[in-house]
Amino acid sequence: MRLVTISKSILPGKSVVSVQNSPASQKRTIALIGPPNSGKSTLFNRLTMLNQKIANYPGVTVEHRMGKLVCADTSEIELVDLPGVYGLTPYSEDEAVASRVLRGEMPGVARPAAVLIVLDSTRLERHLMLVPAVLSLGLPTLVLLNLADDLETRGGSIDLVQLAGQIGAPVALISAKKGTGLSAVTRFCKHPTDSSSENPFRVIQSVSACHKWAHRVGYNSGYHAPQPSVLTRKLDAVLLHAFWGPILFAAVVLVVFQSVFSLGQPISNRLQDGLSSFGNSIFLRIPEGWFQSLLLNGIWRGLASILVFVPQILLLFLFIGVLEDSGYLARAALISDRTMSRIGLNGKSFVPLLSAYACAVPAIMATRTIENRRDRIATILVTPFMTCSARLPIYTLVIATFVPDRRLLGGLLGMRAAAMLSLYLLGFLAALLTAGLLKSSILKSCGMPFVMEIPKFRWPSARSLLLRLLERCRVFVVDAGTIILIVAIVLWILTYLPLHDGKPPVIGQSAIGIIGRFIEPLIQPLGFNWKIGIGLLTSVFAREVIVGTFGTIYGVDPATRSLNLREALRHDLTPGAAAALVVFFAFAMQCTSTLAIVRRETNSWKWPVLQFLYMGVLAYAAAWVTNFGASQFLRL
Amino acid sequence: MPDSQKRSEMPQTNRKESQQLMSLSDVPVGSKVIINSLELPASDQEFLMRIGFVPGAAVEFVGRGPINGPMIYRIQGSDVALRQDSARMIYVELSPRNMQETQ
Repeated sequence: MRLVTISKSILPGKSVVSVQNSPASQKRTIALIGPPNSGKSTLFNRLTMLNQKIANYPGVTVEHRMGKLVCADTSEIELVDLPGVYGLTPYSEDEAVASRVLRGEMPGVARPAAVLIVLDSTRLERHLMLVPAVLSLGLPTLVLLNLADDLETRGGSIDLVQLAGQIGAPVALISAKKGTGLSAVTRFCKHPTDSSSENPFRVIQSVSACHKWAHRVGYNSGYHAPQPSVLTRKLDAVLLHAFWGPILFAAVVLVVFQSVFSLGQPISNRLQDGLSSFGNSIFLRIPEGWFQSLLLNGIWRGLASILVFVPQILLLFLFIGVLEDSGYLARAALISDRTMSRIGLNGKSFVPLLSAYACAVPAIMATRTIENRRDRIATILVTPFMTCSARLPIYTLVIATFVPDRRLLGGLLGMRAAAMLSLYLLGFLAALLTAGLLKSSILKSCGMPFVMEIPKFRWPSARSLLLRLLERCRVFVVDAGTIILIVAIVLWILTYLPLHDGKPPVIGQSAIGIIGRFIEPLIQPLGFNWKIGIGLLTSVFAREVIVGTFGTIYGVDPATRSLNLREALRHDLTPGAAAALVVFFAFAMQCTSTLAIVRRETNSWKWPVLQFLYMGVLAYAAAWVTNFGASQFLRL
Repeated sequence: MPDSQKRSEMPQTNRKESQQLMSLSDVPVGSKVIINSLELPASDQEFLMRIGFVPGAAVEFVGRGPINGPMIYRIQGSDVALRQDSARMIYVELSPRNMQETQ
């Protein structure tokens, strides 16, 4: 016996679901499912506010968002946001995960007591195709027709009573963005109805049959699709114009890149200075000794190195968020698809790869917009080859030390600028080659072809942007931060031990110094001595650390450090070895933060370990070739 | 109900009836066609059909993306981008095949 009736069906979002009270509202899980771009995440944010936690499902890259339903009374209702899917077939990882969660087969997630299906009411017939698969599971289900405001303003309509009758489940018209119609959702979550015993959906198996069913349901419930969005058509005429489209795209890319680089970098630097002077002012009051050193050089330095990434992450995700929510990101992917397809990737990899010029960490987090898992992993793996800003300190130091300040090409290009530019190019080429290599071997595309829905243009909502920014920061600081902090403490121990007469050793005699000497035979073919070796070891933490380590090792006066450091380097490195050093840095994975975020985003140690080894071997080989070539053929 | 994934084994009579069977990638800009069949690997096919490329669905070719980009098709009110190699494997006919789709 069905307990639900739809009492009204007035636009927008005034439909009321009246439910006969079911007993005992105890703790329960309710799943939220819907096709991509149905506004599911907006609804999830609306319903849970900031009471969310995000994790990966065990063994898969698919993310897992849980949140407590915000409502007045005390009943504990947990919402699970499932990945955006068109069906529940096992073809894609997302769909398999959604299916397992709904069946209660996912470890760590309780079997849902009810399901909310979110559909875009402006594309109802297509989105209805998801309904039979979900209903056949036999869980109490509420079908939500989202974007009610859009449906109304563009002249579409639907008879909700008819639709509920056709589907055999309660229906509500909502606008997640505006927050209308949500009382029906909360009421359903508190008292989900019992599913009907006679389930008509077990038989609908094939997609064709689903399509026919959806079409019939739409027709019988008087569905009138809305008029196409005039704004979108007008904007697309310009933004996807054969000539203006690419030009505007280049302009957008330039603005984003320039802002992250020229705005984010100085903020990060200032934050770094601020944090280190703050740390000094606090921890130097503690009596000198191992405890102070651990706090200041281990923990605080680790924390600071996590926090300095936050401004860049915020800035990049603000831009990407606006581009994504407005609908432009899909157009950007469309425009760059041809270019990216040459290296086996697709258009959605373009923006992440570009942002990696500022920093690989937010860039890797930005790969979430790539649905195809193999393309996403390939993009993550090549991203650290792009010349990030952390490479600039060592590049600048070596170039200023070894490259004469001469003009080339009749004064057009400085020799130092040319050297810097060629290092950028080197990283870019390594990324291209690696992508090609990956896509023709272990990450060869299979399964989903490149298909992309082009959403209509919408105003991004500040609320959902803000929530996403906070979420990204939290993921980085909490998940990646833990690993970064551990590495920072381990590095501190290695520089602090073994004690000499109860005092920490000079860096050359510390554990890391001993390791540096130990690996000297290994790096000698590259033209490096043990001091450079220590620099390479400490910079595994972060690339920019090497300059500070050199400063410590060469024991120079901080006031004249940069000048003396150059002389010391000139004494220790031949020009060939110096070139080998920057080539090594162009290729090697010297960044704990990146490794930590790769581990977080791929949900496995396999990819970061593979990446570290691959980049390390490549760096070693390229540095050897550089040093050997320079000394043998150029006699440098 | 004929299974959607076995479209390639469709009876020949169906093909002969619709004389203007052509590849979706060859459709001129602005023209509206009806999808007849898909001949892609099973998983790709299922995915494309879920997106809306179902036999019987009406499709309009909007145009190509800039810089020789993917093809853009309007299907049930929204635009979907598809690479040419996938579009080539979707067969369409110019005349509406059944009334259900054209109401």
